[in-house]
Amino acid sequence: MFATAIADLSHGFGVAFQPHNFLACLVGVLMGNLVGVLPGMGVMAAISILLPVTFSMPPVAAILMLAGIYYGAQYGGAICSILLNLPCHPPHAVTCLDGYPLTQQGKGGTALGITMMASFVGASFGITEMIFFAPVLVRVALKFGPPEICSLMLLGLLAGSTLTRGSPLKGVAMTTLGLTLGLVGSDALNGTERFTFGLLDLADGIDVVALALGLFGIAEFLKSVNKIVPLHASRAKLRLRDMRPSRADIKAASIPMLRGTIIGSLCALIPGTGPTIASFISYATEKKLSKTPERFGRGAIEGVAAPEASTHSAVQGDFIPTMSLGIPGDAVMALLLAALTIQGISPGPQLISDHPDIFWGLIASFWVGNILLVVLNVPLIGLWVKLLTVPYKYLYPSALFFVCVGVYSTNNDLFQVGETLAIGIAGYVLLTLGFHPAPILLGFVLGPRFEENLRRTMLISRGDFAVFVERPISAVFLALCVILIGTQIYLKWRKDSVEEPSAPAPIFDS
Amino acid sequence: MKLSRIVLSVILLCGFAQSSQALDYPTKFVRLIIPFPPGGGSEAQARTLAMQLSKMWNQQVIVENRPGAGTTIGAAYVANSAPDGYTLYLNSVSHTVAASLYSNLRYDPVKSFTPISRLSTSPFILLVNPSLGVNSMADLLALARSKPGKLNYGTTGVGAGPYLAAQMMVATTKIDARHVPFNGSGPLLTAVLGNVVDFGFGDPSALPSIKAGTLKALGVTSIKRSAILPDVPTFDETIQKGFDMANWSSILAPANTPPEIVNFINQSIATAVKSPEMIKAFAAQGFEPAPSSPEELRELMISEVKKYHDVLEAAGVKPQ
Repeated sequence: MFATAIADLSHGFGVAFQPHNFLACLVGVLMGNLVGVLPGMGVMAAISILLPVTFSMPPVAAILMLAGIYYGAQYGGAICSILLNLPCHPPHAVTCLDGYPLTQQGKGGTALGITMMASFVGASFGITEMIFFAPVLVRVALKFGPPEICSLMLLGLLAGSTLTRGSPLKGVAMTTLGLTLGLVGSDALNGTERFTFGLLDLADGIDVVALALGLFGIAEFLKSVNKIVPLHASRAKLRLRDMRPSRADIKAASIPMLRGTIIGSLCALIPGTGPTIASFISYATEKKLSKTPERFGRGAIEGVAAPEASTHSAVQGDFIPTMSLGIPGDAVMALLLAALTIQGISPGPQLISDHPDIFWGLIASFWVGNILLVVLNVPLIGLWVKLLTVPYKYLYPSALFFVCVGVYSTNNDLFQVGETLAIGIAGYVLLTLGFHPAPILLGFVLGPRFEENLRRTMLISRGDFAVFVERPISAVFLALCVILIGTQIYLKWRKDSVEEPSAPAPIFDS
Repeated sequence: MKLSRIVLSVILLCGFAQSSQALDYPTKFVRLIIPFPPGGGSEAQARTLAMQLSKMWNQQVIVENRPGAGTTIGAAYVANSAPDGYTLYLNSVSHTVAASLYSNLRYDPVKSFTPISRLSTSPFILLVNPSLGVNSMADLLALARSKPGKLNYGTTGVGAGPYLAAQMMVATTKIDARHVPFNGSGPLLTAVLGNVVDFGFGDPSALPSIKAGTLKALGVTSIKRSAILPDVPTFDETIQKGFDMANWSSILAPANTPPEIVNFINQSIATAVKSPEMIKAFAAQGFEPAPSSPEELRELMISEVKKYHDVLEAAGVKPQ
C-alpha cells in the first residue's frame, strides 16, 4: 500500500510541476496569503470571486489554484491575529490570546516565526495522513454520528470555558453568552426563528466573522484608544535577532506543535468540526496539560504553536473526506467540489481511480504550495513586524477600514458591518469589566453543533440518554468530561483543605 | 461634414439596435440567490448557469448562498429585494412545498415572485447503506413492517423536496418510521454512509456514491425512470401507481419585475442550457435540462403548490 502510494505521489509531483499547474498553485497560494492577511476578507469570498476565472482552465490547474487559496489564507491569517489582535479568520482567534501579548512584549517576530514552523509541521502531517491513511481514516470518520459529535462538543465546551485566565465564573458566563448568541437565527431542524426580533437579516444567525472581528479587533481597538501611553513606542524597538525564534522557544513549542497537529487532523475527519474547533480544542488542551497554565494569555509561545499547527493540520485533513467520499466537510470544500462538477468531473469515491491526475496532483501541490508559502513568508516576517512601527493613529483606523470592507464583501451586506461594530462595542464593555471574549466565540461555534446533534440523537434513540454511554466513542468523550470536572473539583478541594490563603483573584490586565 | 454624417448614422444605428432590444440590462452585476448551503444539489447548477449568463451578458452573475429553514430564508430575501432583474432566485421544488409547511411565511410562493423559466428536472432517490441488507423496495418495506417504529430515515431538512417524497412514501406505504432531518445533502449522505439512519432520501449528488457501490439506490421518485439511473425502478412501479414527485429547478425574480427583462432572461436561459458546457455539467450532476416559458412556469408553480398542499394534508402534516 505504501509503495503504490509513493509511486502515485511521484506521478503527482510530475503533474504538480508541469509549468501551468505550478503557476496555478503559486497564484493560488499568493492570493490566499493576501486574502489571509486582509482582515475580514474570507476564503469563501475569495474562492467565489476566482471561481469564474477557473472555468477556462484545465481541471487540474483549477483545483490546484482554488485549494491553494484555502490553505494559503491560513498562513496569512495568523499575522494580523498576532500583530494587531485582529483575527482575520475564525480559526486564528485563539492565536490572538498569546500572540498579541507576545507582540506587546516585542516578540511578535518570534511568534510569527514559530507560527510558520507550526503551520508547516501541521500541514505536512495533514498531507502525509492524506497520502497513506485516507481510506482508513474515512471509515473511522463515518463512525462519528450525532451522539459522538454531541459528546465531543460537550468536551470542547467544558475544556474551553476555562480558556482564558481570570475568574472561572466569568469564563463560564461568557461561554453561556456565546451559546445564547449561537441560538440566534433559524432552528436548524425545523426552521423556527429564534431571537431574531423579526429581523430578516438575523434569520441566518450572527456571522462568525463579524463576531470574531468585533470581539477581538474592534473591542481591543476601543480599549487601547483610551490609553494615554502610545502603544507603538515599545513595539517599534525591534531588533533583527528578535525575529528569529530562539532555541528555547523552539524547544518549548515543539511538543505542543505535535499535539496540536494530531488534534487538528482528528478534528478534520469529524463531520461538522474543522479548523476553528480544532484550534480551540488544542489551545485548551495545552493549557490543561501545561505545568504553568498561568503563563497562557500572557504570551506563552505554546499558545501560539499548538493552535496554529492544529489549524493547518485540520485544513489539509479537510480534504480527506471531501476527496475520498465526494462529500464536502464544510462550505469551502463544497465550493471546491462544485468547481470540479462545473468542469464535468463528478467528485466521489471513484475520483482517485478515475482521475489520478487530479487527486495525486492536488496532494503533491500541497507540498509544493506549503514550501512556497514558507519561502514566501519567512522573509516577509521582518516586513510584517515593521508594520507595527506605523503610528497607531494611522495603523488601527486603516485596519478598521479593511475590517469593514472585508466584512461587507463577504455577503455584500451592510447589516453585517453594523453587526461587527455593535459586537465590538459590546465586547469593549465586557473587556473593561474584566470579561474575556474568547469563550464567547467558543460557545458560539460549538453550541449550535451541540444542540443540533443532541436533538438528532434524541430522535434516533427515541429520547433515551443511555445512547451516549452505550456508544464507545461517545462514552470515551463523556469519561474525559467527567475526569475534567473531577480534577477541577479535586484541585479546588485540596487547595481548600490545606487552607492556603487563596491566591488573589487574577485581574484582567493586558 | 462627412464625419458628422458618419457619427450621426452610427448614433442612429445604435439607437435602432437598442430599440430593437429596447433594454438596458444588465448594466451591473446580477446576483443569483440559492437557498441552500454550498455544495447542495443546486450549487454547481447555479454556478454553471451563472458562468454562461456572465459570458452572454458581459456582466458578472454572482452566486450567493442564503440557506436555511427549507429554502424560506432565501425566498423571503428575494421576495423583499428590488424587482429590477438584478436579484434572481434559483429554487427547487421546495419552494412550492414550503407554502404548505410553514404557516407564517412572509411571502406568497407564487404572487411574491415573477416566474422566468424552468431550468432542469431530476428525481429524488431513496438510498440505503448496502450493510442494511435490503436489495429492493419490497425488502425495505418488509423490514420496516417487521420492526414498526424502529427504523429511522433521514432527509435533507424539513420542507425540502426529499422530505416531501419521504412523507408521501410513508403515508402511502403506512410504515412506521422516525424522521431525522439533516442540513443539506452532504450531511444526509454521510449519515446514510455511516449507518446513522436506516434509509435516506437524497438527490442526484448521491450518484457518485451509488456508482461506487457505497450506497444503494432502491427507487427514484419521478414518474418515469431517470436517465441517470436507468436500472433503478420508480416509486410508481414499486409503491403505488401514479406516484410522482420530481425535483425541478427554476429561475424566479421578485414580483413586478419588468416583462422585457423577464423575456430577455428567459431567452438567455433557453440559449444557455443548449451550450455544451451546461449539457456536460448537468450530466455530471444528474440534472436534465428543461427550460420553459414564464407562463408555463407559473402554471407549474400553482399546480405544484396545490398538489403538495393536498398531499401533506392527506398525510396529516400540519403547517407550523
